Amino acid sequence: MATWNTLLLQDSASPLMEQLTFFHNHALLILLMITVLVGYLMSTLFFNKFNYRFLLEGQTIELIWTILPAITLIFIALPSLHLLYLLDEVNNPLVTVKAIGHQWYWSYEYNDFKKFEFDSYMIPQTNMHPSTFRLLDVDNRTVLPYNSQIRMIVSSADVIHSWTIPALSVKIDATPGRLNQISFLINRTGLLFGQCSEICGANHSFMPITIESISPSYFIKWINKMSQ
Amino acid sequence: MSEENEPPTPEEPENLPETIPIDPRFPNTNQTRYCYVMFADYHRCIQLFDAEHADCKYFQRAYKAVCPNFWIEKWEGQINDGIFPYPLPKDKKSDTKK
Ligand SMILES: [Cu+2]
Repeated sequence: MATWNTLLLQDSASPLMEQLTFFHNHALLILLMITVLVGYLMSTLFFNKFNYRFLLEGQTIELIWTILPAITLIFIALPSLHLLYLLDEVNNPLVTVKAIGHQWYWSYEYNDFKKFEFDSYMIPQTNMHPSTFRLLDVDNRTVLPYNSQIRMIVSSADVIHSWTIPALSVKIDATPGRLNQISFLINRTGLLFGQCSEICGANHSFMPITIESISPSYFIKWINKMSQ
Repeated sequence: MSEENEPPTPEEPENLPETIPIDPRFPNTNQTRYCYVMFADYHRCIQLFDAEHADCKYFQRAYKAVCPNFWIEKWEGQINDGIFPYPLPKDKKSDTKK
């Protein structure tokens, strides 16, 4: 969950998000090195007294400062492409869950076992407990088994919404008339929070997503309880 | 791996009832057509065989897993009204072309 001092990415809860965090740190380090180098060069230009009226070209230095950035870019592009294709990989899922966006709540449908569906509304500030996360907790959480491949089918009943869990590196549009599929794996138990990420109307900020990641055996119990 | 200390659950099987596997015809993020094809195939299947036929169950499991419930309700209404936009065989005997 994002808190006030979360300046970088959230803690990862899936293997792909872990890799994305590594890539983010890698790219940020290269960025930092470039910024320091260019900053140093610019400041020395301002404060030195060198001048040379007849300077027109310097082939050697131009060759170096063209090729070096190109090599630097390769070191960013290759892991980036690797991750891009890794994210698109689909494994055979264990559970299929449908998330349907509405103005302004999400509804979830589980049909693999016994058929049931429920709506997931944000808990308003007036109904909060001391343990509730303000603007993030919902009345009916999306319960999912951990260490299991999950297929989410995301769609909408009215306008475009976007179903998002930053800790899982999941963000996918919920478009009316279209089914979008995304596959992920949660590698730990706990609560994961996200918010609708497509401006969808007046209460866009008040349709959060709460995932409760639990062990598969408890997930089966929850299924049995919900489908009674 | 360390098993968590769970209370004993003898009556419940440990393995989850698995959902339908990935269909290689629909490898994309967009699964709209997969849902539609599975729904139509199920209804063709039960017209050609019958609702209890084992092969039809797969289509049923697939469209129920992938299609939103309100789409299914809408399409079932269309089938009942005879306005479903996909050629379904009238009944088992009258269908000659596949
Ligand atoms: Cu929304």
